[in-house]
Amino acid sequence: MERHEAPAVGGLESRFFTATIFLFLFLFLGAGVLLLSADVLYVDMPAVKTVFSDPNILHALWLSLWTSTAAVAISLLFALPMGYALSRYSFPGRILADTMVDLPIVFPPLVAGLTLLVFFSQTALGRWIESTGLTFVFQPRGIVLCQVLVSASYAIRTVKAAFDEIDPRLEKVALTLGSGRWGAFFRVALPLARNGILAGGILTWARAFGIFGPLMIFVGSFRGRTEVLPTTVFLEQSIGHLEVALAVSLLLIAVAGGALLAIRLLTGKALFR
Amino acid sequence: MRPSAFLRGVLLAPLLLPACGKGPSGSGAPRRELVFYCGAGLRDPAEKLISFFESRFPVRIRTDYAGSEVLLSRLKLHREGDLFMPGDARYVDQARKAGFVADRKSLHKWRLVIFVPKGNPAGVKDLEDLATEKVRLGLGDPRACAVGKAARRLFEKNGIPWEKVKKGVDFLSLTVNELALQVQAGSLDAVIVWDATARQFARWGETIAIPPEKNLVSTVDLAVLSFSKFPGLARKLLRAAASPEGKAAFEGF
Repeated sequence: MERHEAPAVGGLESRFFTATIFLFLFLFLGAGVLLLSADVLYVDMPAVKTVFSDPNILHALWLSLWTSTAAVAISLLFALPMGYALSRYSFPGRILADTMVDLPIVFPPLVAGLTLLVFFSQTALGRWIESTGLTFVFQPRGIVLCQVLVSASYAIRTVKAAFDEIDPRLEKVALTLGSGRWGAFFRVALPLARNGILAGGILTWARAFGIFGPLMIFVGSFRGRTEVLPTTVFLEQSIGHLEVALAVSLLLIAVAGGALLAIRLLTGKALFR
Repeated sequence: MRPSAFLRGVLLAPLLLPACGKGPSGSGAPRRELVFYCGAGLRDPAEKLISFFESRFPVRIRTDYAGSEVLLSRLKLHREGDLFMPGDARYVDQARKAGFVADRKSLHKWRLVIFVPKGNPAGVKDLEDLATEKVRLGLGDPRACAVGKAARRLFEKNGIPWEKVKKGVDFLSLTVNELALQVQAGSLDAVIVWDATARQFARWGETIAIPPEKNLVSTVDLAVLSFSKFPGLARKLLRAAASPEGKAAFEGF
């Protein structure tokens, strides 16, 4: 996808236009830099040392990284077929299905934690699942489940939008040229939706990486076991370690920023058309 | 260098804004707004105390309910507020050492109990049973709340090393209420809570008493904070709370 070139016509009006749009860009980014530097200035060296020497915080970092990545993989596994189905097929109840997909975006994440807790400890099916040894309550895999529940919608929504933009005729052409249904999906639709899928993955990862409210209820905040990085920030500030909380926040921002930048660089071109 | 004065100002601004008198209270005296830091497990009697205060004095009480350790941290950070009632008088001792306490009175005593879901699915009989792997155990986080610190002292008093207990713990909470909630949801086999908490949640669980010789008694103190903007009024509230009428707030708790 090539970036659109700005119109080459010069003149005062054109310059005024450019200045205006860049003013807003500058204001927004400037505010971000200002806020970040407030964090940086408040954090002192002992706090930074605590962050990098505390095995529990490093464990929380690792736990945050792998759980949110696993959540993206599972979300995309569902988002690809679901996005395609919602985009290409009209079926009874489609509006209802579409609405249900959006629900987790709207409700507070805390609701997901409470719902999961009640499901696994109060319903027969939930208790049966827990009794098979596939335990979620107070376990790291419960973190992944929570993250998928609150963030998969972003993947499904973005992937559906990507399929919406692809002309179905292209797949029909592939079919007439002898490709099967699967071939047309994997060799035509999927590559064309690549940017949308990546964008969906990024949004899902960002959301999954940042949640902690539902986790506090569903898996607890156990140091070295179920404590993720956002939980660390909350716990440290609540017991008065503001410097440590901010130092962990900066680590969180750095890791998230680094990951987002890396994906953009690795995939080469601009992700969003 | 850190611009702490500026930053603290920014962080605290929302807390300092509303501390001014609001409207007359029938008799004509302006109502003063007092800030009351209260342990989350004491919510029920605190609410009764507050309506008693507001019916007797020209005050409006703004409350902050959280784990006691969390409240103490807030005191250290913000250095403002008028009344402080944590889940254990030890926090008042700590606040007094830091110079935050102008006056204090004891209002209540409570004990720890083991609280299990109805039917006691894990067959818990006493403290020793809790430190085993097969019991899904929940405790208060000693870093955050009074009930967590007290439970830790309880295990140590009974010769059960904390490190061993910690290995078997499945859930650590920030307040005592969350422990009872997990028992209500049936996601834990046993928790250690205050006797009053167990009574509050009696519909959803069973209480296993800890014999007095093994148990601990915690005192609930109400303190007037040294940074109170209305120290005279805050002391009046303290005296009223310690009167028989005030202590009635703890009846049945």
